[in-house]
Amino acid sequence: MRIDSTPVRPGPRRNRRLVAVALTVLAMTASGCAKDGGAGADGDTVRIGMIVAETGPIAGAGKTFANGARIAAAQVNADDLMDNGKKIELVAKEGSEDPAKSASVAAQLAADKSIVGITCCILSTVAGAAKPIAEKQKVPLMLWGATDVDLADPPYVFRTVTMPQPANEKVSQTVAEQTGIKSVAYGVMTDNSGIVSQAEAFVSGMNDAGVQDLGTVETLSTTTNFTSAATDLIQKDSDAIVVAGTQSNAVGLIAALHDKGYDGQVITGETISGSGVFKSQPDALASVPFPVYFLSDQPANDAAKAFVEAYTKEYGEAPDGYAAQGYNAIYTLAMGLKAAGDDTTRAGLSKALDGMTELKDTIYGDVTFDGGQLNATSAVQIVNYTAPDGDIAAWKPAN
Amino acid sequence: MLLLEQLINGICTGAIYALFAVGFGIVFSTMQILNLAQGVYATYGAMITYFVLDESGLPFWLAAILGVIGAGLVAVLVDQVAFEPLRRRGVQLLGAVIASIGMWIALREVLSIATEATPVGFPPGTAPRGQISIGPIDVLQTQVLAVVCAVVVISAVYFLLHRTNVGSAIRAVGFDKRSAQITGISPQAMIIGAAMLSGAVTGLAGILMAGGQSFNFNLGDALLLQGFAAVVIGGMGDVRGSAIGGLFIGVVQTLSASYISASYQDAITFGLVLVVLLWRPTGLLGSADFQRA
Amino acid sequence: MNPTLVLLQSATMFAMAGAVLALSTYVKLWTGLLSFATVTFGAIGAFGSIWLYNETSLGLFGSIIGAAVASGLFGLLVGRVFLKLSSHWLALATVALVLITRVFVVNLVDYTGGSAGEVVAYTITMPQMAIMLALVCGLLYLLKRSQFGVAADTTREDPAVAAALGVPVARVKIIAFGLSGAIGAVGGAMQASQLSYIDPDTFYINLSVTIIASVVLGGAYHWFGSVIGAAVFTGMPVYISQYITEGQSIINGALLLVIILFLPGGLIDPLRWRRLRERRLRKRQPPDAVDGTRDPAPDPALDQAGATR
Repeated sequence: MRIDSTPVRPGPRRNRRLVAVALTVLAMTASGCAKDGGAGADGDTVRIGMIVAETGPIAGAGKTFANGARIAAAQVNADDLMDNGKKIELVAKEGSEDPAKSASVAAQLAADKSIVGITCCILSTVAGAAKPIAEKQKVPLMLWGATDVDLADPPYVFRTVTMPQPANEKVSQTVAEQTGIKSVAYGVMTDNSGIVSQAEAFVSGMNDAGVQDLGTVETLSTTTNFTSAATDLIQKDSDAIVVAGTQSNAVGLIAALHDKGYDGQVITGETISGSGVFKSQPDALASVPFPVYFLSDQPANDAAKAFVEAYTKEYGEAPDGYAAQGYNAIYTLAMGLKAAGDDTTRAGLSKALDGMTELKDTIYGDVTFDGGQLNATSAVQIVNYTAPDGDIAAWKPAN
Repeated sequence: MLLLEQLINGICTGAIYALFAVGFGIVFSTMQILNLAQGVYATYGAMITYFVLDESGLPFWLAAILGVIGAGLVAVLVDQVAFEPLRRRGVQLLGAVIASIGMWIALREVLSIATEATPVGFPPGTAPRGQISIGPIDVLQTQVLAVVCAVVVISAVYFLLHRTNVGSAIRAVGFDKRSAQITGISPQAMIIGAAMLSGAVTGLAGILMAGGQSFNFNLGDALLLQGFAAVVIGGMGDVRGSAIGGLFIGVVQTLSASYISASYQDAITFGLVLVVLLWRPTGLLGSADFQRA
Repeated sequence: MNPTLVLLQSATMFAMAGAVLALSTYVKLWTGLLSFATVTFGAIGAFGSIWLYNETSLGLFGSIIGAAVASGLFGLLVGRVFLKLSSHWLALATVALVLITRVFVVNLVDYTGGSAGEVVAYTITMPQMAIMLALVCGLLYLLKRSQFGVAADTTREDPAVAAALGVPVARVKIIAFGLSGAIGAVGGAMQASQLSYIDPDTFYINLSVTIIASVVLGGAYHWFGSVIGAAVFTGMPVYISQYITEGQSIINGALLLVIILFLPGGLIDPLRWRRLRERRLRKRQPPDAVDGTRDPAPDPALDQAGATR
């Protein structure tokens, strides 16, 4: 078992953080207007644009991204994490995760010279639309969700989303080693390039573990009934089936495999995490392993613990992986601003972020940056939902 | 053996499309309306069933009946709010299409807000799940349910529309409102009845579709596209045609995904739709009287 | 630049792209054909022009013109093939065409970037967009007064009568599809430039619904209606979403419904204006703004878009 791979780091920070959290929460309850970070009266206030998706087709995830970001801003300010009373003010604009709307909003934020950095984007299309605007206007853009390959592009475009590919590779290897499966088949949603790339990571992990590849069955984003794909997959008679798809697609196929009585090992990606997912298919999803970078039940360190407490207090539920992504985007920007020192301009922030190679004590533990992309592979944990209440727990092979 | 199994999968999916297509066809043949809000009825059927199951301890069949009735009422609402004023003015295709788009967008957003855009599923232990064996073949209970419902409901709708006085009245309204009125039929009642029936049948299709998987406020959109492929193939005016069209689409989709290529599945299905349209513009089984519409 | 100005500029540019797409749909409606195919033409225009721009030395406008010509030819073909389909069936056939388009965009990876989509290599500036929109409007203005315009009007009013009067109904409809193809391609390229990144879902059902809604909202009886409709329906949401975060689609849907119920001819409705003028000339009471609802006479033109009843 190598689940809790990130050691807890006790230290003097801990108390300071706890005090900070308490203060934050107090401040939030007292003012009620601290939702967007609430700039302090003294010290520099740096304005960060945030394109949110609190309405629209993926509002469910969009809300937690934005909430995580708000907690981050509040903590950074209350804790004086950027030193010398420097504070962040979040300027949230609704983009509904629609490329056209988000592009307009990005252009608007980029035109406002008081905005030093922008954070956004859950879908790769939206990131693709925002990216050229940021590069043209030379404003640092921090992508918090889009996982298509090669989106990060310093010195202006950075990405703090924890990439699913290394996590998938790890889950493949670990599950293969611990269950002793000999063969695997794949159910892949092929009309989404991000998912295809995630599937390739599963394949490479399985190959490394010496598991025989029995082939792939394709599904589509337009597939409405997964019984047929499940039939094809079961026909391959493999020890394990890897399901790679967007949330509803993956859940649909896993449910169909379950209903068709597949008794091998089912493995999937982190797309099935998120509120409500387990409740929609509890029987099928329980005990299916998937990787996560962030687990509110098992915070990697004090930073994570403080985040979980503040978030739970403010929003009445524990933060999920999306909230952590939102948090980390703002936290990273704050660390960039801290490194930039007095030069809290776009150029200064861009330079500082470009020069950033690692960050210690983030909510994922220690992370590194490579080509503008955050890497936190050591934080990957392999988990599954547990019946009946859908808590996420460290995965263990069934006997 | 795989072929047989996939054929069964196709027929079972097709049964749901068939139900949807029949619901679509009722509106079209009685009111000459191309109703893009039809998919929403399916979503409401499934969502109402889900909410009932989730909130109360009612058994699945009762929740499903409530879902079906709810979908029917939504259809009546759409008809009375959007189509009735247009009908009174005698406006045809374009107006009705736009009005239905408006209702589609608005009603879908209501569900999106109600569910916070997250996926839902019928709670475990409520809806039938798992497999049963029929001879050497294992089939899902949801599939058996879909086929049984489709056969019973489509037969009943056919009987109602073509073998009873009420059905004749509904179809008469479709032909000509005024002459129907002369024969003593209340067109208003018949139109509401037709809308109710259409919504209920479509809602049932949505419930069957939702059983056994997760779904969200978009459920009906996919059904709408498949459903109209079915009505184009089968012809809209005829219950039997719509039903056979639905079955056909289900089988073609399943077999093409399994044996040709999933990537081109939609191109194959809708390419076929185009070919049929061009070859027989009123559908493979399109009745002659339907050309009038 | 001032952020509010940027928002205005962005909304305006989306509205201009939307207007050209709406005009592409309008041209077909002019001859009485309700078609969703504009999105397909837009996809050809966008992916085609990007491909030409990257692979050839035609430059921005050469690439767009090249894609527009290809799309126009495709439009002629579609018009010819779909010719015998009437009203509802034509609408359904074009929806099928849109669905098939997506499959090809996903699978022609080398030309479209496949499901990953692709970055739009060019940028069309605001003045350039304005010129393109003006050119398309100018074309339609000229057409309205031309023989084609008269033939199209007649075809929409009553194809049977038009044919009896010697209007080459089939040819008029095919030409309308060809024009729609070319104009739609230009609109697609503009939309792509404004988005800067496009993928298979960019040109899909959602956009076609928005476009048709724009045309009807603005008014389907005059080309200028499409321009106004696009401004309201594609430009406004960019603004509204800044203030209303939840339930915006409910407002959009309700707006559509209200327009079609109370202003069936759309915002720009020459017929209604003429009626109002005539009534005023007859020295009657000035009618109120939403008089259309009480008007017992059906709109002949709207009716014609419907059916061969």
